[in-house]
Amino acid sequence: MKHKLKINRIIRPELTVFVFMILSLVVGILLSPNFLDIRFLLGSTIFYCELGLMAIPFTLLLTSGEIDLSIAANMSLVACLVAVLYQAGMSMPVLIVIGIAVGTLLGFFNGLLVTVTKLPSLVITIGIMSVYQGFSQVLVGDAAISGFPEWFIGLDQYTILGLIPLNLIILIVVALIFSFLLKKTVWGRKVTAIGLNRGTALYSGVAVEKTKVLLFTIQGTFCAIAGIMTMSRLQMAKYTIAGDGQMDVITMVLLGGTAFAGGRGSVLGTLAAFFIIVFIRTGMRLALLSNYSQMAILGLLLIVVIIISNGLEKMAKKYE
Amino acid sequence: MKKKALSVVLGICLLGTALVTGCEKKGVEQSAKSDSSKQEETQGSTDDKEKGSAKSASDVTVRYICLTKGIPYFDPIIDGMKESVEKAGATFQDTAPDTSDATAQIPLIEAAIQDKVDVICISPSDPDALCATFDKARDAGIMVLCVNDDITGNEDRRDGAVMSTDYDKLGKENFEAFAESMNYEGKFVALSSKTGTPFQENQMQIYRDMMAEDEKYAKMEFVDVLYGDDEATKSLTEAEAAIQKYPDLKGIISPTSVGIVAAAQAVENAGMTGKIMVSGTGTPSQCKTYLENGTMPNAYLWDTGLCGNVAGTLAVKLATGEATLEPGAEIDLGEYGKVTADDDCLVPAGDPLKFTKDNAGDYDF
Repeated sequence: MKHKLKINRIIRPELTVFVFMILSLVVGILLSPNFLDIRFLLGSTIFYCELGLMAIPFTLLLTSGEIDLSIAANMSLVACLVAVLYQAGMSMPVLIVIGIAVGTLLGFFNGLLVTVTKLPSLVITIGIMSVYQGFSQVLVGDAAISGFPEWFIGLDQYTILGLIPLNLIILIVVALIFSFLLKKTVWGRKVTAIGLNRGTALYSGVAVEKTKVLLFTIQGTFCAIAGIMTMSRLQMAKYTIAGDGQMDVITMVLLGGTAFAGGRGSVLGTLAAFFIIVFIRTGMRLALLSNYSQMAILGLLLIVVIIISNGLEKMAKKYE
Repeated sequence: MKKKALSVVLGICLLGTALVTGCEKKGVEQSAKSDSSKQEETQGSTDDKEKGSAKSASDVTVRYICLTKGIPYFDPIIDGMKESVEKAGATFQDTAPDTSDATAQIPLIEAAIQDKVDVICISPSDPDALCATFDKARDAGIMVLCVNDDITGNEDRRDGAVMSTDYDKLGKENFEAFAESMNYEGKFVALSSKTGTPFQENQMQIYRDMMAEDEKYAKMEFVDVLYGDDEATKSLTEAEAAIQKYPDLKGIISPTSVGIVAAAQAVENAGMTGKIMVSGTGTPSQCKTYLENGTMPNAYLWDTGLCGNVAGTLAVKLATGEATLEPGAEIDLGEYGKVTADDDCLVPAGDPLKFTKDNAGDYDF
């Protein structure tokens, strides 16, 4: 009995992710002799920290069985809005608050739409995505807005002991907080319960709709923060600032062992997946592989990890 | 319950700090290691210098970072650079981001720094966004050469630039040939691409300056600027509308390869061949028909392959110390000719090419 319990504890969906994280590190080392340089590796995380930051609340959202495809669009809309208002003469500290408030509202709006219409969030947020993208293009057109104040730009240049970028620290702290929220609080259990079986959760007295709206709202807040952080890093805002970021975020979350249908989620798995993506992309860039092959390899990896972690889950269930 | 939650939060905070400090320790060890290896390296290089030999060409790596993947215009530049770098005995690598966003090249520059290449040749996507990363590369002892496009306004943030040709000279020669074909009199319009594109705006400014400065253009009248957005259909429509609007139009000059073809087509459609002269910048293969039937007496462009050749050869020569790039420097590049740097260390690769009905068939681009 004791023996069985142990195996059950070791074989977890997240295990695959951590194994693959180590593997991706090894692959990176094999790809280029210049890969294993802690300063360079940590420095390379800054290109993905904003996406990672959106992937953290996204893990909870997906665990509850919902998805938000408009996150990258929300992010660029906030960035464009802040940039345009800054150009119009408003002060940056005020705009940061306004930007975060707007992002939060956009998220809240998504939550309301999904819960009120009772339509799949996939459908709703595809539409919303185009709406936000359209708005940002209307706001700034093709232009890139720059010329932000000196103190605002280059957040990514701050490091702890000249080594760990501030953005990465923020990401890790946020991940730890959300991991605690998901695994150790009643609220987190409710989020998982909603994803497992919405009906059961509802009849057990979980405020399903309210929780979902809250999750979308938090997602919106983090999209706004990510948008402003990206502006600071790139020293400009443009409607393409987030690109197809939602795809990278979804890849991170799924790679991290969160179930697409909800009911199972791991924030620390997402964090590990974040590092997998950083390692692989950085390694392949050093090996001068094109972005297209990077995408193909990441896609393959995603499929392999999901198949393995599903298999492991079934195995773990057998031992129960 | 509250106590329990509090203790867990505290625990997490502790874990967080432990993680951070843990990372720091590792990092310090690592950086100490890399410092010592760096020292060894610098010692190595001083040894080399003491022997009196700078880096030999076979140790030189030149990496070209293109604007973005899949623009045919850049293919001859890449091929030309590869050819000349490898001919010099050095290693050539090329890479490119998949979007032309202002900052998409930054991770690629960072990777080049990490790989300790000797020269970064780059066609920059933005004149401002890359400067901080260029500084980092140059601090690491890497030479940064802009190719085909420059970071205008920030010239001191790169080591030099290689342009396909002297665009001012191109503009002047082109306008003179255009004016000559119009017999220095009559109305003409310019068909540009989008509003505010630097190359086209600069070319049109050159025309205006020449008309203001020289009496011989006094009978010419620059009546309008059309914007065809570098789209074939829109350019054609704009050109046809201008022919309607100005019945006594004598010429269309188009400093864009899409526009010049559209202008020639519009003139032909209107049956005005020989009455309205067309000129500008365009590739010989696209313009051949119109050059031969007289709609377009001449067209201009530059040799992008030569631009790649010059950039590649120059990069290797600079890395080996055979040449130094400073304002006014004259550098002999062997089979690719002699080049002269201007005050901003900008090097035009060659003279503008003039295409007429006699030589249009000689080129394969």
